[in-house]
Amino acid sequence: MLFLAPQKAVHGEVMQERRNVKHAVYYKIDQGASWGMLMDQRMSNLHYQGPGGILNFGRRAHRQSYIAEWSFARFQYNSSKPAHKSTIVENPAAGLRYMRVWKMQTPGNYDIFVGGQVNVFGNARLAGRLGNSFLFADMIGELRPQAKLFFPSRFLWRDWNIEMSAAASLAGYTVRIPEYGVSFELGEDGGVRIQGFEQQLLMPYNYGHFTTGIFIREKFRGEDNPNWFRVGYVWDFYTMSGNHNLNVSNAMHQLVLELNFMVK
Amino acid sequence: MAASRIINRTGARVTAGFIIAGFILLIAASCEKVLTTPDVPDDPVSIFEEIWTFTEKHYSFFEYKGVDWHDVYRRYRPRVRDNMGPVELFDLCAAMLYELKDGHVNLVSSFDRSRYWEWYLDSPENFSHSLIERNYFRGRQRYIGPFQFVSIGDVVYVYYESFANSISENNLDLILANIEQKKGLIIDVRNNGGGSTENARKMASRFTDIKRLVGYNFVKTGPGYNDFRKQEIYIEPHDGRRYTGNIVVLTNRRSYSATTYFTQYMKALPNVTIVGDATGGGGGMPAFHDLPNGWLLRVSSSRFYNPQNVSIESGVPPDIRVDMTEESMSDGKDDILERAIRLLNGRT
Repeated sequence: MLFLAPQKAVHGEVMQERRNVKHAVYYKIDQGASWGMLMDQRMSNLHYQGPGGILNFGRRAHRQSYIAEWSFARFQYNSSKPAHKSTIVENPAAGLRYMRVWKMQTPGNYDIFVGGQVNVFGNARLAGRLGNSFLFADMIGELRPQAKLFFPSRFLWRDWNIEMSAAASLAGYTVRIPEYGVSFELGEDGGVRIQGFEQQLLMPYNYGHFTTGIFIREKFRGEDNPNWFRVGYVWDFYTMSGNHNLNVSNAMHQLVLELNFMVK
Repeated sequence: MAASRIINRTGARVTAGFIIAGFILLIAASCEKVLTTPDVPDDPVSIFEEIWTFTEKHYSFFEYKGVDWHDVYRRYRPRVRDNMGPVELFDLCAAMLYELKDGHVNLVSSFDRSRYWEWYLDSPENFSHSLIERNYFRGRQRYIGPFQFVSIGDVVYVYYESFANSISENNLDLILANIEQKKGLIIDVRNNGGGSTENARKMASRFTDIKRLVGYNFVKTGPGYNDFRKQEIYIEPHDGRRYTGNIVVLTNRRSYSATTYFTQYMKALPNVTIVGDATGGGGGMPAFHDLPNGWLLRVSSSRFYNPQNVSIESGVPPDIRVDMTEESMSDGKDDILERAIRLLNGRT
């Protein structure tokens, strides 16, 4: 149960503390800065890159044999440009996620959790310069196996609790603005409407969504303070090939500070 | 000895931690490169290929215009050189796109915009706003939103300059409130170069009491020349104030794009007569493409047909063809408007 005693995990005197938080529930807020890279061949064959931020609200339950986590409001925003810098692409995204990972039996001084997550997210790309073609968007629902590794490490003259996580898509489904035509077309009433949506089953041959992260976990000050935080780096990347092989790729490099407040 | 074992164990943990962390970061960064299609270079050949290929996959009128786009490639591609300057390359690509003879096809750079405007250059101008101002408005016109509005005897005349100018429902309510005691309404969309078809729908929905089929839209669904999805387009009556009396719509060759759509919507209504010259066309919604050197490409990517399955790409013909004459203009008369007034007053 190393992950429940972040500050002094390698020392025996924190056993009491571990028992106290074995069945803890936390509400959490993640915030951070990101650097995004996207390519949407419906829009162009160019890479758009730029800064942004993330904000996520969630609930985390630690049980003896598993961790369950809800991300019930996850927002991202990036403003990106291609190399020529004449086009600005606003890239908002939002999603929901439920993750559960179970503790594996491990012989060493580390913990491994394995499980999965259900993830639903929407990702939009808005480029005002592109007239009728200014909006492209994907809604994706997916199942992803997930693993977490917790281990202690010592550097900079002290002990740290390190958490690493990785998830990869298994299967999913997307509803999105079609690859061809323009995003804003004639509606059946003769006015301007979003052209419509197309759907596609997502499998490993036409879709991949990978997330890896590395975090340092730390308690807040105070002997009896049950709250903790983690700081880390997350790489999130998805790529999807449409029915006519027009690709969408979106990568996020995120520096994240996550605050966890115990509620019971 | 015990102290040295602890140090060794700690050292091993540090090393393992950093190796794993570094490994993850390396995988993350390299996967992204491997899994993403490389950026397109901005050399002249790549720019030319981007323009040709996007047009090949998205343009909707090759067959209608009888253009063999592969033949165009064979004629223009050999003229692209690696050491071409941007202006020279732009002019070459503009000449290639000009072969499509389409006002919705443009190449936009910081120093020029390629265009095809000949659909109206070879036709009579058929409109003079200053003539309308001097001899019909005479300072009496009201500006209701984007509309210029005046009563001419027993008819109401409304000029709408651009479908890019937003229309509110209140604007239309005010205009319709002024028609009730009149013999008819003239809507002048001459020289209106287009804008939003949403404004066209808003206006047309005020002039019908029943849902009417006004045409068919064909939306591009794939890279093939005939990859389209057919949509029936209807104008539905507005819930509020409407006018179904006699209406005349005035058009000329500079009535383009959304104005052509509006004219087609109105032409499908039984109480409407189109007077003037054929509209300029522009019956395909343009799609845009961002190019590697910052230029912007725009091509028509849908097709609109009237209920008789005739494309409106070359324009909507008038019910009554009228041209303005120099003689009438020198007398301060607008022949097209005069004909509309006579029609609404029950004279031909």
